Amino acid sequence: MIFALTATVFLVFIILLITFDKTFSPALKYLLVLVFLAGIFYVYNPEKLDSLARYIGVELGSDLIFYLSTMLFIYAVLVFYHKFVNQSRKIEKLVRFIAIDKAATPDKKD
Amino acid sequence: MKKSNNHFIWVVVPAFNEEETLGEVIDALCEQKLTVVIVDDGSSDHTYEVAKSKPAHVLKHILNLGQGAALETGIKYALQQGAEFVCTFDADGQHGVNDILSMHQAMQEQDTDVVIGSRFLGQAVNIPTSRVWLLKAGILFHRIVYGMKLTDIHNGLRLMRRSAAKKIEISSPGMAHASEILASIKKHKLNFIEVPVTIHYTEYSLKKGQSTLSFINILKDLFVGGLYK
Repeated sequence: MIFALTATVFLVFIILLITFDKTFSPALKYLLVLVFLAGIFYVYNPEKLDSLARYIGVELGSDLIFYLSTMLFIYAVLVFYHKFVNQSRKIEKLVRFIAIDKAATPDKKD
Repeated sequence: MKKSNNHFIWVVVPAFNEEETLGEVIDALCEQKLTVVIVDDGSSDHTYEVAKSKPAHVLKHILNLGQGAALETGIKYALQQGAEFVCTFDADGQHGVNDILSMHQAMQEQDTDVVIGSRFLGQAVNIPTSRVWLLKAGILFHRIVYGMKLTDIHNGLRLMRRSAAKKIEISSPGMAHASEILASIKKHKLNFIEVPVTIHYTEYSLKKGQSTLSFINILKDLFVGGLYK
């Protein structure tokens, strides 16, 4: 019961974060809220998760959660790395612009 | 002896914490009447002050971005200033200034777009054996991946015509830029030749240069760079 309560509090917290986040598109927001609401449902009805897992072709509900988590984790890492590379390139352009703009020439040095 | 005027050759020198050797390198380049562009890549020592005290164009990255990014900045600047020929040159004193002139002569005689320095056609003084093997592995890698037959790779001494320098893009900020330049030469079907040059390995240049592990980073950068182009 302690785990179920902890998981519920955690999932509700995530749902609140998503609800008040202004960076998500409305469609993505609804989808994520639905996913986490389903998470709360399956915390209290694990046998239903097993049925869903068997329906998809996975033996156990816990295995299904593990596979989904792994895929989500890899996806998140790629998204964040892509953002990191983009930010780095923008910083590089800015640093280059400043360097060229403030170049000291042999005849003009302060 | 009167030196000929080589101001039309712009020598781009990326420098990161090179206060020990940079002054001598600039003096040697200026002695041959070459136009010098120093790109201080966010050094924490007095590299910038040393460069500014010399008759060179001095650019400063406010952050350390890496040698590839510093080269791109210097090349872009040189092209904006109207450079006819752009040369890349290391700041640690391992290159010889006279090699630039022989590379330029070879470029004019053979009418090529790019001239790449080769330490294995020339001399690599005091080169550690481990470095020879790593470079040979790199040469094999380039032959397999890019289909380019070269005798040397990752040599910082290169000379490009303006038209070639405009086509060569360096998007990798780190050390993978050397492979990227070669890939760019192939992509744009630029004519190139290799010319013998002499590289002097010193305790200082070995300490500052690439380690065995940096080759792993280069492979990673090439892979990631390929993914995010």
